[in-house]
Amino acid sequence: MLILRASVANGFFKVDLMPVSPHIPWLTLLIALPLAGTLLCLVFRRSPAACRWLTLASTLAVLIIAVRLFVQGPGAGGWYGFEDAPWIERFGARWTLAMDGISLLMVVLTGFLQVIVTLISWHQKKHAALFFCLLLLLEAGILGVFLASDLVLFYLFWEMMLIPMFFLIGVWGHGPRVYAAVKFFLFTLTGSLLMLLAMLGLYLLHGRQTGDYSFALEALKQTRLGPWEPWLYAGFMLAFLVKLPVVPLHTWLPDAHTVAPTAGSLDLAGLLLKTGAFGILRFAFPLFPGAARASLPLLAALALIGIYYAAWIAWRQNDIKRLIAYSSVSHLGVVLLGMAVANTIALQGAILLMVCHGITTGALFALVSMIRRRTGTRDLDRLGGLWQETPVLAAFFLFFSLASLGLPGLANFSGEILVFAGTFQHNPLWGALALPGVVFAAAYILRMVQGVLWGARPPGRSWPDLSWRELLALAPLAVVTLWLGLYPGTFLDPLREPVRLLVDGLLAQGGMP
Amino acid sequence: MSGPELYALLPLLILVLGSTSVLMIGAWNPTRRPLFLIGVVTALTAATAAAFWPAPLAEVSRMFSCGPYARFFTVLWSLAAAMCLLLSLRCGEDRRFPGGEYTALVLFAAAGMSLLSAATSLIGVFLGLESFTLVLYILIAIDKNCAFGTEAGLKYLVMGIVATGLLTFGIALIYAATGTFHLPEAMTGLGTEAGLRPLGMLGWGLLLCAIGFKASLVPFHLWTPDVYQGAPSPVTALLSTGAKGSLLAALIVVMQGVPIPSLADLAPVLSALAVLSMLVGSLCALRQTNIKRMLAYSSIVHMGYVLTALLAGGSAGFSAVVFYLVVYTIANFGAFGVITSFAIQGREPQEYADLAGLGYHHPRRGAALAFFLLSLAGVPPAAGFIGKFGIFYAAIEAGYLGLALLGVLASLLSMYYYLRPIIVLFMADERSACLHRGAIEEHGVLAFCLAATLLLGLYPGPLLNLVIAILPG
Repeated sequence: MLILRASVANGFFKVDLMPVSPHIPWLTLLIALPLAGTLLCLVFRRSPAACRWLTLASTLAVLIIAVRLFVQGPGAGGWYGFEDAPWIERFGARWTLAMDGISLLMVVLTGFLQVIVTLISWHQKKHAALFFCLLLLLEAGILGVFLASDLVLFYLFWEMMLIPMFFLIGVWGHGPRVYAAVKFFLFTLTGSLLMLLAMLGLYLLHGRQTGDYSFALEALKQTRLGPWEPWLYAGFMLAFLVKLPVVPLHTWLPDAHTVAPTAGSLDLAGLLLKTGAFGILRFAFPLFPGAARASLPLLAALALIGIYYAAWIAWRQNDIKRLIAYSSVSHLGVVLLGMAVANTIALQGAILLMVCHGITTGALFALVSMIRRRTGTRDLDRLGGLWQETPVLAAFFLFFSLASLGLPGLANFSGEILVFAGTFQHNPLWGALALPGVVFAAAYILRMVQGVLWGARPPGRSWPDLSWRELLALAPLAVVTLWLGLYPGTFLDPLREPVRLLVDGLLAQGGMP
Repeated sequence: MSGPELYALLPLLILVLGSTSVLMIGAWNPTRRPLFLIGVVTALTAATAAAFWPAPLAEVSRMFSCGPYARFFTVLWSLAAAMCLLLSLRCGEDRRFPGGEYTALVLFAAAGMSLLSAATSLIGVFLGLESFTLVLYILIAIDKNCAFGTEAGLKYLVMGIVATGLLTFGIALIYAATGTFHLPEAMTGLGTEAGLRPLGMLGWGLLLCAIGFKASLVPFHLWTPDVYQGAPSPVTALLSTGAKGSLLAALIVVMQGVPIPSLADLAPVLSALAVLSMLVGSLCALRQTNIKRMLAYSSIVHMGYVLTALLAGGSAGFSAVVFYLVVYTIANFGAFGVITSFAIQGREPQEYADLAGLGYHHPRRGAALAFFLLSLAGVPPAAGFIGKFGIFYAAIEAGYLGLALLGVLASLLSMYYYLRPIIVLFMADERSACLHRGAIEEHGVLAFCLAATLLLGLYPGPLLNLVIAILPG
């Protein structure tokens, strides 16, 4: 196979053919497929049906490749894939994609949720073509974030997630959608721009020490940071903590969720929040182990505040979508606690909880939209009686609510128990402080369940139960929830090696020689 | 002037002779469309000549360089002139521009900009700058029925004359201090002639004021929004890219000659100009509800970024400037091109209220405008991101951490004012009426700008390497 290569010699352009090996670049393909879908949707924008099927086809293709990589198992050194090609040589930025166990899980989660999102938005009426374009563009960005192993490339994808989400909230949202979209955009962008500065600082520091000006993650890990370390670390962390979101920086999230369309909420809670946590694990911790170690107690404190504060606010919500949004903040607090503890068990638990939370919260958001479509409201005071009215829907709602509060045997439990076990092993005080959070979660979730499923049903006509398409979207989520709860081993295996490397990196004193 | 010298000036001769002959033809046959198209062909021929026929000499009359750097900008400004003429085809017809004069003036402006970018002596700077500013006075006010245009032209004229005075006096003082007009020597001389150094620095100060006026740096920026608003959009595009860009291209040559101690003296002044431009420009842009005025203030901010990279200097800084100018030129032509293509009977939709919901009536051009604005804001994958990346990189490398931080802050603010028209385009509750469908040549220019912005954002390597290869010195 030959590809065209353009270069500049003596101020003139030169084009030549370059041989490449006929090895299938799966990771690049993962990102290219949704992008190709985006372009095709633009071509067929007159036909919403074509766009739907194109979107379903590309999301399914991504899922199949992801599952294939999962089943195939890791290659040498615990990597599921590694691709590298020159990109912007002038800055030393390369097209480097790498997949370890953590990114594998995240990619599978992305592929899975994106299929569900497509199914749920099947009957999108308003500007359908544009909607599906943006969904696919968003997926490409998210996958890129999970795979990029070059800082510039990572930043490119990180920002690429922003624009589709901005439009999803701003165009298809209801209520104060522009306000929420701009708030989301500005919060996230502030973090990213600081990260960009930190990236440049790190790049220059590394280049001056070694003479090798490169943005490669593996190369930058070797940098001797000196007094700059806390500042650079802070730049990165701020971007990730805004996205996570951690409590003082979380205010964009409930607003965004309240107005976002269902697909937007699902992607936001299921995937975008995970990119923040993922960024900490893939970039912030390994690049700045010293500063990271020093910051762990602070992170734990933020996590504890987040767990309780968000649970308390969730308890006071009457809008069930907002309630679930705050429950996300609370759950992500547990994830952050797991990362702050930073031992093997807690980290595995945190990553597993990320996956579990993506599934259960995604399902809950989908259910909320189904309830709203039937009853026309999301207000707890006006809802009720769904248990008699639409038993299948109510059963699913109960199931995912119980999973969300951490019922043993269902998804979130397995993640949370690992995080708490790790926390008690590391620092019993933190564990003792965090554990009652579970009770809080139970309190607000049960209040929601009680208000929605039982009590008097609001007057008016009766509602249909789940349609087969809605069932088709929810059933796989339920199966995975059970799987994650009953046999999390499948998902923990790929995590062993990367988590071990992470912990080793954090514990090693003073970084590499 | 010898044969090789004329041959070395070939692209400029094509522009100037083409301009003169269009003027002649226009006197006999004033049909606009063919005249405009002749102008486009002339500009493209000049660009081709500049790109593919290397000059036999390095320098003409010790005034203008003919090296790859000068040629690069000749290509850029010729293409800009071609785009400007293409965008004017329909709006020129609607607004009854005088066909021959308009084409001739645009070509002449391109020649002047190319001369300025090629200047290697202070006289060359003066000649190039004045030849295209003179042309712009007329172009801005070319629509005789538009009161805003006349006001804008007059404003630009008054400001321009003051700047010219300052420029001449500054050049005279530098000449008095160093005894030469030629650029590297004139600037190097400033460092050595101990006794006359104050005189030279005063000259520098005046020169800087003149540049501030022309490139609309704060506090010399007051003419900018009115002129942008009043001029026809294709002219605004040429003014905001070529007029400012060629000046900065010349400034690179000037800065390269400045010895280190003089640079240390100049750095605070230049930093102050950059800081003020970024801050004041951003804050004023936030309040605008007219897209052309917003772009005017944002162009002030962009000049602040470019000045930051210029100050950082070195191959990193100068190459960042050149790359940024290219990206900025393309995005600006795209944005003003969309506005032109919406115009009905010469009425451009300038207020945000006029743009409400247009993203759905005209999805392709709505999306294109959004993309150009995002490129100006520096959001990947648009090319503006790589441009800003280069600038911040150069600034941090040269130790201007404060300026880089301020640049980031300005980018953040810029996000807000660039998002406002995008929000109006796609998220407004009310809809304004459908606007013009746009002519084929307007769509062509927009497609070119869109493709270039996307390509340079995703694969900027070749252009970056080219820019490094052509930098003088």
